[in-house]
Amino acid sequence: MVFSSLIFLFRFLPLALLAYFLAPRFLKNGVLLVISLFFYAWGEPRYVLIMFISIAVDYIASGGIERNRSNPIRKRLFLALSICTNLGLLLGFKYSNFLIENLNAAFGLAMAPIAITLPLGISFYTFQTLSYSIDVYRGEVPAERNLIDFGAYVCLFPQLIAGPIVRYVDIRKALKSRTVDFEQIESGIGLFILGLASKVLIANNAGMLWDDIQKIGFGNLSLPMAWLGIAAFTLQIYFDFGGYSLMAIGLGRILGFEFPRNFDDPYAAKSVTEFWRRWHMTLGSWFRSYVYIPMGGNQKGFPRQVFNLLIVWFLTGFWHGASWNFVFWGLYFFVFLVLEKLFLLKWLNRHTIAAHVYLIGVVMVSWVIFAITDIGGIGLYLQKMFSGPLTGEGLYYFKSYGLTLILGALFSTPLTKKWYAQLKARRGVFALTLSVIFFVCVSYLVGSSFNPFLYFRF
Amino acid sequence: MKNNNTNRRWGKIRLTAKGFTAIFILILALMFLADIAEPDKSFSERENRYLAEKPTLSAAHLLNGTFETDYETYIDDQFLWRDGFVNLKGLSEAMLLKGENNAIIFGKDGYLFNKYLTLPDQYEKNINAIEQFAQNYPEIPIHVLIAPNSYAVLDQKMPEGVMNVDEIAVLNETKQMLESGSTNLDCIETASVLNAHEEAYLYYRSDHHWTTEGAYWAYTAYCKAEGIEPVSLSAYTPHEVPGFYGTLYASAGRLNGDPDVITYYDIPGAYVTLSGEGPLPLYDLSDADGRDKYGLFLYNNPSQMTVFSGKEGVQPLSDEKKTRLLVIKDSYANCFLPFLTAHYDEMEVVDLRYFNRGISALMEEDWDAVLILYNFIGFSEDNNLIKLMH
Repeated sequence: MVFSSLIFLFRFLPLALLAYFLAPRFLKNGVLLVISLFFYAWGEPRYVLIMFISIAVDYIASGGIERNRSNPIRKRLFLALSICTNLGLLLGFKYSNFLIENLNAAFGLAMAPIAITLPLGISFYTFQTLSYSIDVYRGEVPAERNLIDFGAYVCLFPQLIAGPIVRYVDIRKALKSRTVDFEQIESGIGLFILGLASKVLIANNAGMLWDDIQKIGFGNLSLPMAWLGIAAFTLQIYFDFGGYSLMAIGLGRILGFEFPRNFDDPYAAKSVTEFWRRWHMTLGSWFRSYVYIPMGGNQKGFPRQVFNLLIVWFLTGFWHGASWNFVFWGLYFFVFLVLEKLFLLKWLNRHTIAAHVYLIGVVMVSWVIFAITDIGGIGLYLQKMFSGPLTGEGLYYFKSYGLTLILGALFSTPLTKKWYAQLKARRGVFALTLSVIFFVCVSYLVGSSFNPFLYFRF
Repeated sequence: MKNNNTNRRWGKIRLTAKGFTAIFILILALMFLADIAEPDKSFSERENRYLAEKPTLSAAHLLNGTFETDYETYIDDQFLWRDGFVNLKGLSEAMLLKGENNAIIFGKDGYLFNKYLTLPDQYEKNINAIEQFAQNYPEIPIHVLIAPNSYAVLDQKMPEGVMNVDEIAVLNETKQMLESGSTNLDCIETASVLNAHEEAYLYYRSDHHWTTEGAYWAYTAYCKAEGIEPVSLSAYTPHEVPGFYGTLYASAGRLNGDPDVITYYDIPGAYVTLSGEGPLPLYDLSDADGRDKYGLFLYNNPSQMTVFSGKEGVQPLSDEKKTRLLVIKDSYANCFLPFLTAHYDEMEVVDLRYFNRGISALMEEDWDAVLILYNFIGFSEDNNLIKLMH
């Protein structure tokens, strides 16, 4: 189930909230676990098994680590159990076919791809449970001995399928006892609707333009069209992902949890280094805590740091999808990060405007690598962006999508934060604005099912 | 945070965080209840389709996910104030200065056009099917008429710079290819004559069909290609059916001009038979009062029907015997074929989409010619032309 659907908004959500708030305190986590499992099972009930495996294995592993604090070997074995299970699930479901394809290509084999669909959110919740086991191993947090509470942490529906990646340390307290007041609920509602609007009104609309660009065919694009298209994708991916995170954070807040922030005006950054501190922040800090720093971070000399960065950015890219273009996308950022560490950052710090232009340019090019899975297509698109014909073809798209994109661009600046705070300061206006936005969002959700049947009359 | 709980004012109402929460709980709860209480509708007039019904729960469907998908479709289709929400979306799109809605482009003078960005692979498959068909029946002349859609002809009315498929260029290429490949095939080029009458009412503003006048000009191109004398349009008595809101309007969700007017012409004597029943009149005027007014032409796409000129003295292509034409077509033919009754005594009209047999049994009969008539978009997306080979 996705948040931006009528069934979530007008069936699941009212009933889930009702059950949750009616439940007595000692049952709340149990209710949360049940509704989260239902949320996950909807559409793909078989994969609830993975959820159970994940809960059981990490529960046992963390318990084992806890009991064997003084026995490093057994402690390690339990950690290995958790890591192998989580990575095994992730690799098995997400990367099997990629591996088969590449083995086939490299050795001329003809292994058939496996018919599996990717379980929803597996990249997120495996990382989440990994962080838990490692934190327990490191002694940063005691193992959770209440199976229900632990299950609720693993399956918590707001962040289950698209993050933010919430570390157990961050919500342990809330999991045990949480209070929620109306200010929190108010702010949760606000963030949820803001996120919904980001996804439904901006991301989906910008996405329609990007779809058209793909239908027109990259070979037919003029230079302005190529830039317009990738600008649309740039907005689409931010508002899609950022919107989803906002909805998760908002829902969490309504339930009494405070999830970490996941996006912080990334397009307003002035360097790639800064961009990655503002984009998908929980993933960045995950790689930092569990890969980069354990490998020595920047403490073992510059060449070693560069190597560590290479590994981290290879993995970051690969995490985004089982396809080479994502690997290249990660490595592309690696190159800029190293350049910035070498000399570029100093220069950028002194040239603010140039730094903004540089960042947005680098990021837009990165989205070409991200959005197009075949390498030939990436080359063709980049060629159109930098040496395509300067014609007025596609003028229509500038007119038709211009305002949408301008609004999207405005809302991806820190102005949003400012406007939002001003709006929030006047509660009545805030409520009115949010309800109007909510109804418009619903109209787009209904509109997308408006599907006149015409074909039979052709 | 705590202290500004009550001191914000909105008009004279103090809104607390509690009140704020209550507003949204109320919205959610009321919509939830109203949506559940609202009785299901089975048919949407506006979309011209049956709406999804509540799926029945079964363990198998639940486990493979089809129940869930069906249930979501059901919720979407039956949602509260569906029409109102669709209009609200249309309004919002208009405020965003979107030049389109639901892949329908708003053109000048109230014209609505299809957005058609990619030529599907099916197009080439269908052309190949026609080529194969011509080779299988080398002794029968085969005329192919693929009508361009409104956007390709009325380019003055189109917004500038839409990167739609260039139908005219594709059709010219196809003509060359087909005619050089087979001796019994000819492609009737209609774009130039349609273009020459661009000022006329050639296509409906709100529908994807050509008008009867558009069809008439295409008919003159057909006559020219076949070396016959077309009947002048003024020889027929016209009748008008106003208030036509077509398919493009249904998709776009709003009209940006007046509704269309359908014109049909009396063809004295002509009649049709439908699966042996008949004679029936050429036009089914019961459709003129309904929503799908274009359906009045040739009974809205039956799988097979016969059109008879019904009179002596049609201009015979051959004096000795009845002239017989086999027509394989989509709905663009429906307002076109009445004009051909002046030249063919009998037309067997087949709509491959609903014709569930191969064409070979029909081909054993004696035909003067075969006419394959489609509109470009319909043709490019139709996967039934494979039936020509069986």
